[in-house]
Amino acid sequence: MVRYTLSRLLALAPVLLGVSLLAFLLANLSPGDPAELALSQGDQEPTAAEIAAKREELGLNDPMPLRYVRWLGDVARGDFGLTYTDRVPVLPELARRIPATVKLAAAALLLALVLGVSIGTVTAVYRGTVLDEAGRVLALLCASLPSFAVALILIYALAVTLRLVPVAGYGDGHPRYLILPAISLSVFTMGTLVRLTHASVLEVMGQDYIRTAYAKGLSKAAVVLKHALRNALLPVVTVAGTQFGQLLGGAAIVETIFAWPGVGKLVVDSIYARDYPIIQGFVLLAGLTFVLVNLGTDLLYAVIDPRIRLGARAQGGGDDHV
Amino acid sequence: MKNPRLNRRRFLAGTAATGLAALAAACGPTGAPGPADAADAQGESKAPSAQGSSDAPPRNRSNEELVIAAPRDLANGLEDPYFTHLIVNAWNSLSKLDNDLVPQPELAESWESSDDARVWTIKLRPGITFHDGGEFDAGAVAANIERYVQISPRSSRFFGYSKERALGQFEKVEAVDALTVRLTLGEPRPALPNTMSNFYSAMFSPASFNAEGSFNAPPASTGPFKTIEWEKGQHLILEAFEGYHLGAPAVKQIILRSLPDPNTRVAALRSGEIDGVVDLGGLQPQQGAQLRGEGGVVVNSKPIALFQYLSFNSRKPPFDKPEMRQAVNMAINRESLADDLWHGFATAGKSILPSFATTWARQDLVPEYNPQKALELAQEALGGQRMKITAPISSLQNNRYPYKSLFEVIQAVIAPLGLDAELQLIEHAAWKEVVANGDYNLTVSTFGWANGDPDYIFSRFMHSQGNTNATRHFDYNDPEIDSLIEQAAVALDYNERRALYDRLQEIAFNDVRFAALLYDHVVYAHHPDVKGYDVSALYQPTLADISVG
Repeated sequence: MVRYTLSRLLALAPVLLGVSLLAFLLANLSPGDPAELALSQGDQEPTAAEIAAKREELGLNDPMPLRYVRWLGDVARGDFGLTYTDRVPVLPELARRIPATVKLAAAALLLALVLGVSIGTVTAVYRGTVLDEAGRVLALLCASLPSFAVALILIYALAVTLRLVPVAGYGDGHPRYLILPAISLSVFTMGTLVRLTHASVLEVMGQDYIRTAYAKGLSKAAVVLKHALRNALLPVVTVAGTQFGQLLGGAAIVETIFAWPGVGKLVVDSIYARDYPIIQGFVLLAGLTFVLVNLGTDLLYAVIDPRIRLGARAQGGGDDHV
Repeated sequence: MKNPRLNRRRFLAGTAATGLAALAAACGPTGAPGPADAADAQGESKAPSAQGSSDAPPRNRSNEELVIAAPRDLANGLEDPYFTHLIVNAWNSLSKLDNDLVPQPELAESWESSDDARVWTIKLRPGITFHDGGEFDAGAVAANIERYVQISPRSSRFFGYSKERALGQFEKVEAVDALTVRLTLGEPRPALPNTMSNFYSAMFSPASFNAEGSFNAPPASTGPFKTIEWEKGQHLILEAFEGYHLGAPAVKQIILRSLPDPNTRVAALRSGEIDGVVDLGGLQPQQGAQLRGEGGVVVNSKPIALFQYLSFNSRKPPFDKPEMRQAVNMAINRESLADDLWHGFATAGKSILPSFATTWARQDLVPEYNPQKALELAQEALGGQRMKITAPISSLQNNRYPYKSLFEVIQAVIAPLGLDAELQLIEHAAWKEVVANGDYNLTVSTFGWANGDPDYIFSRFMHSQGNTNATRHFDYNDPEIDSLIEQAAVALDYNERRALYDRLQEIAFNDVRFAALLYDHVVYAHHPDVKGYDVSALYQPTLADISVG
């Protein structure tokens, strides 16, 4: 296990190098002149001379390979550079925005997990009933509705009409500000998890050991909660891991609608402004997060499913998901 | 096997506990370094009790506190030349444009120039103090002008500073006495009160900036409100300045919230969470019309120094022929666009200088709407052939104005002329590049006439070295036009300047390489019990004059 973890950590280096190169190329090859965009932020038309001077200041006249190597060298020393538009350091700018996005994504994932697993399990256990049908329609709706539509519906219903929660903002960090953005962001993931849990529980419920559990005289609740659900959770954990990454990356729209001070909106604005240092810094950090979350998910398998942990020692120890 | 390692049962129990803890952490006030803490690290100030903004709706609206939303951050950090936007009412300028875009003294009492308009003597209003208690005098003005010269060029999200644009060839600034400043320039600059208006002569307490010209903290100025807290991307909290030279504002505290999504702003207005909306694009025209129809909120608009204009790529067919440009221009019904697409929140465009700026704008240059004549011109120019043209639209501007609908209308009205327009809705930076590369035939964009000086437009649009001329491919390269623009910029007599600008407006109007389509209005809204809420032609709200009653 330790050796496996170490080898996975070592494999991070080439992956991150690839991510850094991709981030650099994607940003630098997209059309648009960052110097001109930085100068025309406030309804101004810069002159050709001003644009030329800005390009020089930002180092955009140097060959691209040189710029990449220079950026990579700086990043290796922990210096992510200055933003093009405001000329402030990139890392603190990202760092002060990331906690709000993580908070939002974590709340959304938790909500999606709790509701998704519960509804998925209930619909599987009561298959063919009204509950099942209602759950499936709900799952389909959740997976089909874009988050901005959910957000607008929720704002209208809960904030404007009923005035239960604020329309938008971060406030003082009070939970009422988190409710609408978290629900909006969680809806798609919840729909996915309902369907996944439903399928997974159904599969497990058909296994021999479930019949055995029933034969032992256990109640339905005990069979489902103690035997079926635990084993059905494995694919759910896998998907939840990848979904967390997607929630982090996909929070931009929800953040914009709810004026949530997260990193998503910052990055989208930076893409519009071709603020390469922020885009590159964010992609690199997001790549690192994805890789670490995947590693964490893989390590979790071993905890949830002993067959994996013991697989190396006991022959034929089940599926080797890692 | 009994050992202390994690087993499934423990894992599940642990997961549940972690989940609950995470929920509690996510929901409760967080100790994690949030934006406010990080803002502190960047040198931004925080007030001890600013959480009034977070009270759950409905709020009690009173003179103690009002909340107004804008689509963007109205402060921009210590590196910005002005820290806050003009809209905020935190600073004043030596000169300010009135609603006809004529410069009026603001912190100055009068401006006088030497006969050659090279030496300017600026008399200051007496008895003005900065928020930090410092006196506003000639020494402070000289220090501010020297700061601007030192930091130029400095980009800003609001209005990038350039000493050449503000002052031309700067030579020196002197404090003649406590209330008199003398500014010496290397060339005549008759439009100095224009070019130094608003942002370009915003005054700050010299104690607020360091030797490099950057601010140490949110700067002290002379405006009716002072900044007491800024959380980037969230809000800017302003407190009334009791020592404001025109009298202390009635409202004690104003929270300017940044709400980037247009639907969210409307929802917040409807729910009573905010008391008003400001800024360019604060309300889209259709939202203004909808809110006005619903009632419960006061919706107003004001003509502003911004216009929508058509650009023709005059270097390639079909718009290298003046007849084709004129044909398209004649096929468009501007009145209908203003009324139907902009819901009355715009005026049909005439000359390239917006007609409410009566000092300069020619009122007689009215584009003719004549589809029949347009057809004849097009048939003559195209010889009955059909041509495909590309019309790219910036997605960014489409978010602010109904550009897609506008283009669909244009597409429909020019089809009978023999032009098959392909609309391309593309991301703003890519749109800029496509247009600058000349890979377009027709586009529409906005232009802000920020200082009311006609040179600001003509030197960009029509001079052979003008940036807009180059990037839009207007193809102006005429020594006579260059000469008109250069003469007008230094002409000392108003009538002489006016005659030159009249001539330039006429050339532009007849050439139709670009054409004013609509003069924009800013749409703003507030709750009925907020009184005295108005905006200027530069969409600055009169925050000092508002009250709740």
